[in-house]
Amino acid sequence: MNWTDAPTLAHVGALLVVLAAIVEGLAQVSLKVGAHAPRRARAWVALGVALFVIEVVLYTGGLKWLDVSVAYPLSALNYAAVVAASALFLKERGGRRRWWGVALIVLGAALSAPDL
Amino acid sequence: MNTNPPADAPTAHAASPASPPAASSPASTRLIVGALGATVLLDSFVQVLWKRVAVALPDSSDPWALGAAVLHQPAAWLLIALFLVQLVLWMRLLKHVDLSFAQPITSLSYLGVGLLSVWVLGEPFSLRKGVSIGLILCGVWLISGTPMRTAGRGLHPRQDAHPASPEHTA
Repeated sequence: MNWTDAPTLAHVGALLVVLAAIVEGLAQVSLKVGAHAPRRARAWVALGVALFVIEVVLYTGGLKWLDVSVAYPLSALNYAAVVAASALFLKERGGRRRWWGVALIVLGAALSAPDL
Repeated sequence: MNTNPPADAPTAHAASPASPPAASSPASTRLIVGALGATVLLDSFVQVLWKRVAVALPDSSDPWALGAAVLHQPAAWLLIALFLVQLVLWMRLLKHVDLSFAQPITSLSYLGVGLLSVWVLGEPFSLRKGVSIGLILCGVWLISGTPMRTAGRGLHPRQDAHPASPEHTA
């Protein structure tokens, strides 16, 4: 893949994979809120599951235009997206140590790609 | 991981040194560690099963044909049932811990898949695999040392006022 080209289908694919990661963050936040909401729990869980379905569609679309060897490491961003969404919407404060941990996990998960 | 302080009890991995001991009784910590472990094991199994279902699909781009083929596979029904089990287990876990604590720890399933691919499938062990697993282990170790729950006055109001046990909100 040549990244120096003008925007190509591969770029669109990469964008879809990154979007899928962001949607994963939102889906997980919905489930977390649902786990704490005694009354509207079902609505939050339904929203979370719907977002997961959207994520699968986006990621599948990304795979259509992107090599697995690129899409897979990119999808390691899921972990960063979930932690960012937790900090943003749920006000979770794990501190710098948690962020460093997530950074190592993203790196490690990216490195575990099938055939890089 | 030899970087652990030797004074740590085995179950203290997921407990934060910074959080007051009363915030999570040893029993609830053990439950949470167990649930996280079950999540990781289940996830590794689901990944392998999912792959099996996907590989067995016919070469067709017709979504209806694909859907029908999926529903004819007993493994696919098992997969759907396991998805539901995963969802329920995950939601119960999220009731007690931060999302940004639990979710990154599930990356341990990479470790399971990596080891299985070497031991069971006989794939060669590469330096890259080793570094990948090492980084994930270090990351999980770092996160396991952060407070299990930091949020959420809005989410679980009187939690901080009742330090007895997280089960109270269940």
